[in-house]
Amino acid sequence: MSEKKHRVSRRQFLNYTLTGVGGFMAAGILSPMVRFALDPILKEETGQDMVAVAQVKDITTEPQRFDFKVKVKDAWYESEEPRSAWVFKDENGDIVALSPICTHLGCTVNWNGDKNNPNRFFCPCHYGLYEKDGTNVPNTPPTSPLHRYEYEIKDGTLYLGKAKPRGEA
Amino acid sequence: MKWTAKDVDMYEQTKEYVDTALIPCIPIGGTNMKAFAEMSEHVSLIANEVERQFKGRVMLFPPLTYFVHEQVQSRVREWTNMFKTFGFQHICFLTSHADVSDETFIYIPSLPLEHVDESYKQKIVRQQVEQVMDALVTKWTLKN
Ligand code: FES
Repeated sequence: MSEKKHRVSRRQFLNYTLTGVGGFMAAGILSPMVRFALDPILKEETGQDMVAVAQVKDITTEPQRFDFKVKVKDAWYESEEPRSAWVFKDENGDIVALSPICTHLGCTVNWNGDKNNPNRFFCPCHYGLYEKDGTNVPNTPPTSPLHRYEYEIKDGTLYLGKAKPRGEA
Repeated sequence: MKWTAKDVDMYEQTKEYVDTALIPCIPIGGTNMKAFAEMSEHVSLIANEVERQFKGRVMLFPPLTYFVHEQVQSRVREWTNMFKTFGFQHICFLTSHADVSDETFIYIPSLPLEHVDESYKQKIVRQQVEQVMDALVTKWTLKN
């Protein structure tokens, strides 16, 4: 009787231990997998923060450059990176916020940067040109338009999000 | 472009467009260490910002680091020749070290920016960045 009891309790003991160990192992394997699965979603969210950039009343039909900072999460640390936008109102009064990053190889473009090409964006690196609305001028190195920032207006303030290729923003 | 694996990949595909090497020069001194550390921070800050704006034409290399008593000029000559053999047309050395600044360097004085307020600091940095960018654009237009 006492032996039987003993045997049962030993089996139980093994049962408990093995389940316990197995459970630990499963948790050890699963939790990073869950983390990896969730990580891109979390990242996506932090990347989409809208940043206050300008007062709507300061925006004219002439493109102006506004500088701001965004938080970027790197593999190792979080840092602030500078960004700029060329902002103006188009002929319908709609706000356009262009990324100044040349779609050729990534230099920063300037409005009216070249005397021979007034009212265009100019890239000093390989003389790329864009029209006011960001369309690349044929026969200059860039092959696609300047990206546009997603934007939002709240209480007279312009907030910018991500810059996206035209058609997506 | 920067001296990182990712950017070097890009460089290798777009070599013909990247004709300018930018090299920050950083002196190390045993006395007055803090001033040298300031120079180092300052020159790196400016170099990074110039790279950001001229990413498609400029490769920012790791700094040329030297002890104050070393003959940096001869190393600058060696480096220049090496970069020429890589195919770079314009080789620019950036320095905040007044003792070595001759016409082979682009000189940007480092100011003790520690105690000044943020907006003034940004203004100074921006001016110097523009000064360096102008110097590069001038080199580029003289060549073409
Ligand atoms: S990076 Fe703008 S034209 Fe090449």
